[in-house]
Parts: sequence; C-alpha cells; structure tokens
Amino acid sequence: MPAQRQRTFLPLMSFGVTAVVVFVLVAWSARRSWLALGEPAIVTGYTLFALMLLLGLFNIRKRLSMVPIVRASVWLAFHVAAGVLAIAMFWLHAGSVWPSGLYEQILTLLFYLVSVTGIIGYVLSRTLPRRLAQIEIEIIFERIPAELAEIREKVESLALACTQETGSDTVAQHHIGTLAWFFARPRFWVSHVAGGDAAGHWLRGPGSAARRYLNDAEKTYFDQIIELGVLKCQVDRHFACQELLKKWLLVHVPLSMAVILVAVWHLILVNVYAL
Amino acid sequence: MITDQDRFRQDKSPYERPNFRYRCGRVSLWGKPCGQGPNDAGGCGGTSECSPYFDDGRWACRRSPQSGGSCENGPLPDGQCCNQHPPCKPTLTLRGYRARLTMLAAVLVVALIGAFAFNGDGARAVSSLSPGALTSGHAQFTGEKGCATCHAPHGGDAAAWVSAAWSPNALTQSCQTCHKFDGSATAAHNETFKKSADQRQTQCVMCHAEHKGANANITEMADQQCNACHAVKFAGFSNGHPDFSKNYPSRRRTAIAFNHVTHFDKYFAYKQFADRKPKERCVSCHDASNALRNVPVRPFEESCAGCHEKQISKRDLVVFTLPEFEEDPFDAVAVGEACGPSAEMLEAAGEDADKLQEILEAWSGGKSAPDAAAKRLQALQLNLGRVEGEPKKAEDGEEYLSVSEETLPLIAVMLLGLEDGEDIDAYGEPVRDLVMAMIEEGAEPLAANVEGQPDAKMLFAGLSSDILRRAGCAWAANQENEPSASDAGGWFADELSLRYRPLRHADPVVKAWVQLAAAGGAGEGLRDELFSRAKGPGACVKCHSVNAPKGQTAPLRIAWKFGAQSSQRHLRYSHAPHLGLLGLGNSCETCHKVDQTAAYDAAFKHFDALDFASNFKSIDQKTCTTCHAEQQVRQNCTLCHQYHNGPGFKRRMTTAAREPQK
Repeated sequence: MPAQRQRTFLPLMSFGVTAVVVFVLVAWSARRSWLALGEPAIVTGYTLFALMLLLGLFNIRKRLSMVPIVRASVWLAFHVAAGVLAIAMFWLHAGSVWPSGLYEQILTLLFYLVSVTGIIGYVLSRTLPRRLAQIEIEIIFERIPAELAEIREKVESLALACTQETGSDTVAQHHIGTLAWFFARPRFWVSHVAGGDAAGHWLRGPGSAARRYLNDAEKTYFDQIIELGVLKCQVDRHFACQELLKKWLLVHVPLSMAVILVAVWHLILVNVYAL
Repeated sequence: MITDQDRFRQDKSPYERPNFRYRCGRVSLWGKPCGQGPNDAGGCGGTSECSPYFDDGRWACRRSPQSGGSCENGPLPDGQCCNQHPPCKPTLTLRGYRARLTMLAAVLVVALIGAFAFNGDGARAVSSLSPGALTSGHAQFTGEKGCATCHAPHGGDAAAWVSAAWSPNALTQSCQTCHKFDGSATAAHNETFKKSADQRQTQCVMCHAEHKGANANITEMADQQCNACHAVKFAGFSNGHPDFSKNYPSRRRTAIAFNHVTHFDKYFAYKQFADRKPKERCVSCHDASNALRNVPVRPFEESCAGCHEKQISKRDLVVFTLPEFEEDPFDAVAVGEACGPSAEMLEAAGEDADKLQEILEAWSGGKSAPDAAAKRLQALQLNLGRVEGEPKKAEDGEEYLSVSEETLPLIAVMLLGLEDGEDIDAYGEPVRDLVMAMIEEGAEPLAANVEGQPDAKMLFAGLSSDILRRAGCAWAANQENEPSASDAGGWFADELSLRYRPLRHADPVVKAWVQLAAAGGAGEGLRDELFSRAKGPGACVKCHSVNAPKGQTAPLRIAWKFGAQSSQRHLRYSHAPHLGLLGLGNSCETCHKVDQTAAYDAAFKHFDALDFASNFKSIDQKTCTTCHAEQQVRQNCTLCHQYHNGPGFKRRMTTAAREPQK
C-alpha cells in the first residue's frame, strides 16, 4: 500500500473500528437502561451531543494550523468516523428517522442537512484531489486570479505583437471578438467539476476558428496564444475543483453551528422539563 | 507566472494568507492584486505601489520585488510614490464568507428560539418547548393550564429552570392529579411486596413516554422490561413462565355455592327436574354474551328460581316470640289504657252488652269491630273483672297460667340486651317494657335497639305499628294473637311471635339481618342461627358464600354478587375472544374440566375462602400454550397481566369538569 494512502487509510480504519465499538457499547448500555425501565435516551443523547462537539473541534483544529495537534489527515479520519457514528447515534437516540415534535423535526432536518453535506464533502475530498493530481500543473487557489491575469496579459501582448509584426489584425480581431471572453475569467466551471473537456472543445472549435485565415507568421503567434489557452484550461480546472472543495464548507459549517445550538436548547429543555 | 519554473522564489512569490478575511478587490475581478493588499477593516490598503522612505536627504523607492522592485522614476519630490492607481473595494475571502454565514446561522437560531420558546401553550402553538403532540386523551386535559398541567417548571423564572435542571422531575405527582391507584403510585405494581424489602421506586415516565403523537401507544411494554424487577426471569410465556398455581384459576372459593357435579349428575337426573336440565350446558346459566374476565351467571330469576325460589319464602325470620312467664308481668290498667277504651268508659257501660258494643265501635273508629279486637276487649274486661266470661285465670282461680311456653329467640335476646332467652326471672320486665313499647310506639323502640348497626334502617323496614299493637295487646292480655294473613310475605305476627317472611330473592330485610350477623356484633349464636344452611332465614347462605378476611374471624363478608373473589389484581383475562374462537357448545370444557371427586360442598361449611376444592380441575399452563406460543398466538406479558393495581381517575371526565372554572 502506498505510504500516502496508508497515511489516510490506517487512521480511518482505526477510528472506524473505534466508532463501531463505541456504538455497540452505547447501544448495549441504552438497551440495558431500557430493560431496567431507565431512560436510554440519556446515554445516547449525551453521547450524541459529545460527538457533535468533537466534530466541531475539527473546524477549530484547522484554524490552529500552527499548533501541532496531530496531522490534519488524522483529524479528517476522526471527523469522518465520528460523523458516521453520530448519524447512527442519532437514530438510536431518536428511535425513528423522523420525530413527531416540530422542534425535534427542525433539529432532525438540520442534522440530516449537516450529515448530507458532510457526506458530499467527503466524497468531493476523495474524488477531486485525484482529478487535480492528473492536471499537469499545480497552483495555489488564492493565486489563480493573478495567474489568469498574467495569462491574459500575455495573450494580449502576443496579439499586439502579431499585429505590429505582420501588419494584419486578424489575430487581434479574433482575440477581441472571441478569445477575450475565454481569457477574462475562469470558464466552463461545471464541465471542469464534472471531469469534462468542454473548454478544450471550445478552444479547438470556436477558439481556433480563425487559424485557417492566417498566414505562417500569424500562425506562429496564434499557436502561442492557443498554447496559453490550453494552460488556462488547466488553471480553470484547478479553480473549479479547488473552489468546490472549499465552497461546500459554506453550507456544512454554518449548518453545524445551527445544529449544535439547537441541540443545546434541546438539552436544556430536556433537563428542565423531563429529567 | 505558472510557466515560470522559478515562480516561487522569495522575490517573485507573494505570501498568500488565505486565513485573512479580505482580499484585494482586483483579485475578485480576476486581476492582479496590488502589493499593499486590503487592511484589517476591509478597506483598500493604498493607492500607491510603495511607501517611499527618506534617507540621507533623498526619498527612496521601496516597491517590493514581487511588484517589480524599485521603479525607474522614483518617488516624487514631496515623498509620494510616483505609481498611483485607483483604490479597489476589497472583498471577503471564502473564510470570511464562512465566518459570516456561521455567525448568521447562530444568530438566526438564537433569535428563533427566543421568539418561539415561550410562544403559548395551545396544541397548535408553534413553540420550541413542544417536543411533539400529546396523545389525544391527555391533550384534552391540558387546555386550561397548558404545559404547566404536567411540567411544574413551566412558566417559572430562570431560577426555577436552574433548580428544575438540577433536581428530579415531578411528573409522577402531576400524573396523580388525575390518575389514582389502589396503592402508592411510586411503588412497583402499586403494591408493597413483603418479599421485596428493597423494592424499587417507580416513576410513571419509566413506562409511559408522552409527546409521541396523538395516536401513540404510550402503554406498550416489552416482555424483557418485566424482567427488570422480577426475580424469576424468563424469555416468554411458553418458554420459562412459572407454572400456574394449584387450583388455578380457582384459588378462592366461588361466590355462589353451586355444585356443578351434583346438579348435573344428580339433581337434573331426577325425573321431576329433568325438564329443567340446562339444554345448552354451561351457557344456559352463564351469559356468554357478557363474557369478560368472568362469564357472569344469569340472574337468579333465570337460572335458579325454577327450583329454589320457593325455598326462600319458607324460611321465616323470627324476631320476637312471647316467652313464658311465671307471673303476669303486665299492669292491667296500663294495658287497658294502651289497648282499649278507658276504665271510665267501661265502668259506665257496666254489663250492658249494647253499650259495650258502642264503646267497641267508637274505639275502633266506627268500623265494624274485628274479631280479634273484640276478643281483646273481652279479655280486657275479664282482666278488669267487670264482665263475666271465660276466666283468664286458672281454674283454681288463684294461679297465673302463661299463654306461652316458648323461650325468647336470639334476635329478641340481642334487642333486649339479655344474656340468654331462657332466664324467666331476667327477661320478664324487659319483655313487658318491650311489648308495651310496641303497643304504644310501634316499631320505633325496636329500631332504637339496633341503632348503629350496619344497614339499621332496613332491619325493621315495612313493619307496621298496627301489627305490633294488635299482637302486643293480645300478648299483654296473655292471649294468643290472631295471626294475620302472611302468604304474600313481609312482616306478620302469628299466635306468639313476630316474624318476617322473605318476599323474594335478595329480600332487603333478610339481607340486612344476615349482614348484621356477619358484621359480628350480634354474637356467634345469632350468627350461627342466621347462617344455618338448613334453617337460616331466606336460605341466603345456603348459596351465598360467607368469607372471613385473611387471618381474621370478623367481620365476615357475604358474597352477595356473583363474581370471582380474586386477589389476583394484576391478572387480565377475557373469555370473550376465547369463546368467539372456540365457539359455544362444549368449548368451555376445553379448559374447565369437571372434577368428580372434589369435596366442593365441604368447602362452604367454614369461612376460609382459600380452603377450597373447586368443581373443576386446575387449568394447566399447557392448555394455554397450545395456542399461545412462539410463532403462534401472541403471548406477551401484558396480554394476561395488568401492571397497575386498581387504576382509576380522581377527576371527573365530563365536559363540564374539563372546562375552566370561572
């Protein structure tokens, strides 16, 4: 097994096994409590609440990147295992997939949304990095706008140079009419996320449509522009995948905060009214 | 530039800080960021590419290497950068957006909780306090006080909430506002078990969880939960359940002493009773249409009267019998004034028969004088020695001869407060006073003697003063009373005694006297007399069993009504579905098999209800497990066992009772 894969697989397996053991222990304890005419929801509820807080710690851990509190990949493995355990614990606690009270229904809905976004995020984090690794270049997400600007400047320089040297504005006109749209900002976002090659098709089609009307000198400049277009496609792919990897947290994290707060109120009510 | 292999060199690569909240506005427009970057407040970091510094009398450029290093033109004479650009409007980074959305979510949740936390109590109110709908039954009774009906902290201040959070809930007390049991609500099974000194305390919510919806079943329990307390733990009825007790289900004597064996095999075998033999066997007498835990016996009039009704009216209750006297205890003048015309009237009449007749008619209210009254008058006259006739005194003219040779019955002994009814010296005066009181005041003096006894008002119910006056006057005159008609039953006086003849089954007067004897205040002698199966009045206890409380001898309880006197309060059984499944016919005998050898009658000759030999063989557990077993008919604990002891309601459940009081 490759070292990198081993680094993520082993913690995930360890936490997974631990999660199963914890679940079995809590379920056994809850059943014992139920058989003894106790309140099994106490043990499952407090375990679930503790899990929610532990899951929330992952976000705090990411903020404390300067502090060496175990590798982030280990934290991710823990977050995934604890998240799955929390879903199972939630069903064990609620006793059904959909409770009857309005407040509990809201809590359940939020919990499910957090769970679903979490699962989606995990799937993205397992698939998109592989796609990024297949791209020939590496680029930091925050630098992409500057890189695009530089490519754009270079393309414009080539178009100007071509006009000056050949006396023909065909390339410049084509750039203004067609290529400028492509180089202005990242394009074909959905296609890049989905793993498609719509950008390449566009570049080979409409993007290169003017080539047949160029002479040899112009073609030299034009081919350099198209090469930059291919490079821009790779940057766009980086942008699309990295943005998705970051933007799903815009849903997951706020919902997590909402779930924890709603659960805290639930906990207060239970202690005041029922226990 | 990405194509530059050396692009990450210190002087070429800016240091990216994705954890900053803002980024340059040019970046958000897909341009190159300026070297200054936004400030912490989200404003533009500056419109110049560098901040020149003054060194050795000259302004020097300080543009960073990433932005191209020192520029050719250098700073302006006033020290400003020569490369000015328009300001940008920095935008939030993704991290900044995430922080804001998270804060927004938190504020929104807190606001919504605050807005709806205490939003009324109604069933339809949108409140974060409501964890779900109540069952429809309970929902009816929370309209007035809302959540506070059950939850004491509801509506309290913060201190009350803090206190409630750290103390056990008081829901069980709230439940008892409406619910009641025959034992403690917090004791297991609402009982105190002698064998379990460390019996655990229970709470209603251990088994009944509310707020699960209007149609939720909040009484459902799993079999395994019963094992939480029970010492003998087992998997199911057909798998480890303890054997039924001996004589199951007839642990106690039946209310009615009906010997099935003798009736079916002996009495109905007689030719004269053959036509009365139950044609449909069990259900001829047992009403299967009302079958529940018991299959009730049809009323006496339908089941028993055909043979036993006449026996009831043959058993008189003798309340008083004129006893024998050695000397005349009555004062003739007093008797004469109480029973007949005044002495002056008789003296004035002398021996004139017509005058006497007039007096007699005047005394009797103008009606034709009955023979008894005439005889009484004659006796009075004889007593007074004014009229010649049959002498009251003995032939020798000297010795008193009592008209009665009887003794006092035990009821009279009790009424007069005597030791016994045979001591002539002791009872003379009390009997005289009683008879005179009967003549003058009717039944009141009799009733006064039983005041305070159970059902005292019924003991002499219907006893007319006329009967007592007539009989009393005759007996006071040492004469036999002329018996009144008694075929119809009720109170009557024969020659020497005051009697009551039961009118029908369940006659209230006889019932009251038997009940009085059962209470124990009348003494064992009277009790035995009234409880005599052979001679007892109304033949009540011939069929109705008399039971002593466990470990005691009194007061006795008479099983007036049919029904098992079961102490198995937690047993739940219904004959109805079994009869419905098995059919009528002979289906009863599937479980109830007659025991020909049981000493059934002997079990009714004492008062111990538990010393009993049933007419039927004990039902074996296998009889039940034939059907109630795994993979067959359900066999859960609560099918046959009821957890609570005597569950009931304290409050009336009428509409008026539910409405809030104004």
